[in-house]
Amino acid sequence: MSRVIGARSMSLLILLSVVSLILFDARHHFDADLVTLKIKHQSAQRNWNLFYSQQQVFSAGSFRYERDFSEIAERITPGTSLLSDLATSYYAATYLPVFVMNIHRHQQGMARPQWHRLLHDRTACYLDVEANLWEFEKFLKLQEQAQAKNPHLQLRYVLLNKDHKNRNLGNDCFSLRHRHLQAPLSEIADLVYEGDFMNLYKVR
Amino acid sequence: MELMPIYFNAASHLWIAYLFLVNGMLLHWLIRARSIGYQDLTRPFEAQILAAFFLSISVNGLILLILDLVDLPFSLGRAAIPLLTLILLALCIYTRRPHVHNSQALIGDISCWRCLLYLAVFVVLFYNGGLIEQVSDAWWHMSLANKIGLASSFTLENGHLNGVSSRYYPPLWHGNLALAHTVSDVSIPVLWNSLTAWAGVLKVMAFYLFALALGGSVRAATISAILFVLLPGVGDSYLRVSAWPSHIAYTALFCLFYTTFQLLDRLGSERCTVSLPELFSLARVHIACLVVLSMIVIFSHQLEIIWFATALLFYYLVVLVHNSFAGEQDKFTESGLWIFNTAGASGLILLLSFSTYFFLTQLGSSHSPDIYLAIGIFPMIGAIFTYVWFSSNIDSPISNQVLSRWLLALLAVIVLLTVDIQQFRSLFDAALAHTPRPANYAAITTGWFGHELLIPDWSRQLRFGLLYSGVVSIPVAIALAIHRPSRLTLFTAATATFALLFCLSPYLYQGLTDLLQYHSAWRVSILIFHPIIFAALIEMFWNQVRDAEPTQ
Repeated sequence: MSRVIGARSMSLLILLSVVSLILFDARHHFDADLVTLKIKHQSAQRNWNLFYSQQQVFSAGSFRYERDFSEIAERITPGTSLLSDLATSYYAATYLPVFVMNIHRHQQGMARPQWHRLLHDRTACYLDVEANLWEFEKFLKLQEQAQAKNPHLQLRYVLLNKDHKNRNLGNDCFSLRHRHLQAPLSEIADLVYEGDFMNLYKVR
Repeated sequence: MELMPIYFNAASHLWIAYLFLVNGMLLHWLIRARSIGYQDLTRPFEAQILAAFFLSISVNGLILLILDLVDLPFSLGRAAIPLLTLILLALCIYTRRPHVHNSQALIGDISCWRCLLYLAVFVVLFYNGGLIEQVSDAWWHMSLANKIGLASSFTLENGHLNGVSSRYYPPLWHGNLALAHTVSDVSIPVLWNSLTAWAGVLKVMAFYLFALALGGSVRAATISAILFVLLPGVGDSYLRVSAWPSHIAYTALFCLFYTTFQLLDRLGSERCTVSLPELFSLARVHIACLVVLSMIVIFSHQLEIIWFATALLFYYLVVLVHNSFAGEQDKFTESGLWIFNTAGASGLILLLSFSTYFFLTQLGSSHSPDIYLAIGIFPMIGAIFTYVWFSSNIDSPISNQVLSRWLLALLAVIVLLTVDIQQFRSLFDAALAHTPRPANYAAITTGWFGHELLIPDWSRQLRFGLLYSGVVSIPVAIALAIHRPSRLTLFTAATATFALLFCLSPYLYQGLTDLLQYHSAWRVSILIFHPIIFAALIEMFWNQVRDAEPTQ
């Protein structure tokens, strides 16, 4: 009798230990603070969480720009290249028939376009500085000659994202300085669309 | 904060249900009406839903392939898909069988608990959304889907993102997304966001089927599915990324396991040895399903077909080890022994020949001695296990069971000596971790001869996935396999142990990376199926608690 009780107690103890371990590991899904912490540290929320809301995706994603993108799609020449901040470049590549160069390094493959340097050293973000605008113009002329055989790689459009709620734009100088870029851009490009969130410029 | 409009993505859910389930379900009913074997295979409710999904995406992929080959726009899918629905519907009505009136036959085996689980997963993922709000690789995939749709072709001359042609990526899932976008006019990010809820549920369903085929217990399989949702792992619980091609391939991988074990069970009830024509006649439905699922994996992410073969090979090796040390009474026999042995031996010969060939081709290179040791360990493993298989199955003068045991013990010692203790300690203490090398998607350690070797970087989703249930499950699986050898315990112990060894031994990891020519070989750790291990443990001890009765 006591042996049976001992075996049952041991089984119960093991069961309780396993359940405790499972509850301990599963706690991440029920931790409201983790959502805030991940947003604060810009860490991707890949696991489901009871307290995560699609509202986060809505404000830090591309959904609010869909009207702008459908307008831009009607004005843009398919198969051309476009310059924008990092996040908007990815959005544009997904919504529009264009190529974008401002992408993560590990996705560039063998391509190392020169104008990526203009973003890397922030020249493109400070076009309101005359020397930078001059360099940018010079680059546009050079690349037109260099990429004569690859017209799809020639920069044709500049897309400014004016949104200030999307967290993905917060670290990008090209988006953060959009107000300062509008005037210099109008010197080298025509504003072909002005929407709630996006301004599209066509390089002259 | 700007508020999201209510039901703003409701239309996308309706389109997903139609494009990824309806035609497949009609086709599934047509096949069910004609094949008893297929009826058996798809008896569980989950198998029916998954069959509908995989048939749908396969048919969609075929339609796109035909349009691509004859150079017609993918927008013709707007007519082709509804037309196919009408044809399949007409065929279903025309060929209906009496059993189709039976709701049980239509719906399959399902319990209230599992329905609640799937509903809960769907609601949480619907509420969470699936578009990772960061600029993640998801946008790379969505851009590819967009350009496939725009070009109406799987072959993109100028690539899809920066206008430079990129490496080949299996296009089946991207093609399906492109088709859904073209047919529905719903944007790809909205489709991706909504698809996550559906694909998440499908993944949990597939895991349930896998656990069911392994253990045969509905209760343990249900617990496995619940734990799959709850417990973090490398593939488990990451439900917000369910719309990624790799996770569609995981779903197919679980179904591959399900179909394989169902095939073994089907053969197990027949004679031990069957000829090839007999095998085909007995299991043509299972073989056809295995082919279709393999094609889906190969054309959606590829890599999982390697993990499928690897897992079965690990299982076969552990069965060989178990039977080498067990007495005659305790030897484990898998169902469909003939095909299990033939497939296992073929895998073993393939491992031995390919790894030897790879080693020989590298002999002229200027590799360090540590690299040579890393790529040389695989032919050695292959040779020892081939001898063990030979001694167990073929009676000859060179067969020697005692020598087999000694060789296995020697191999175990060698493999354990290659384990990097610091790597193991750094799993628990990140400060001890080896220097990460992001360019290699790995960390760097030093081998016995003082040269660099790759080792998994725990911070790449592994630490979170393994601590603590993942790592605890491995000794539990080994103990269960020793205490109660069965298909479930031997399979989960084999996959979990080998997967962990590849993450702890730099020689095994470097060798695997070189052999597969793949930068993220750490993904082998998706073969640690800890939800199934804990479900088996819970069921075992629950039965002991319930059944323990006082003796007189």
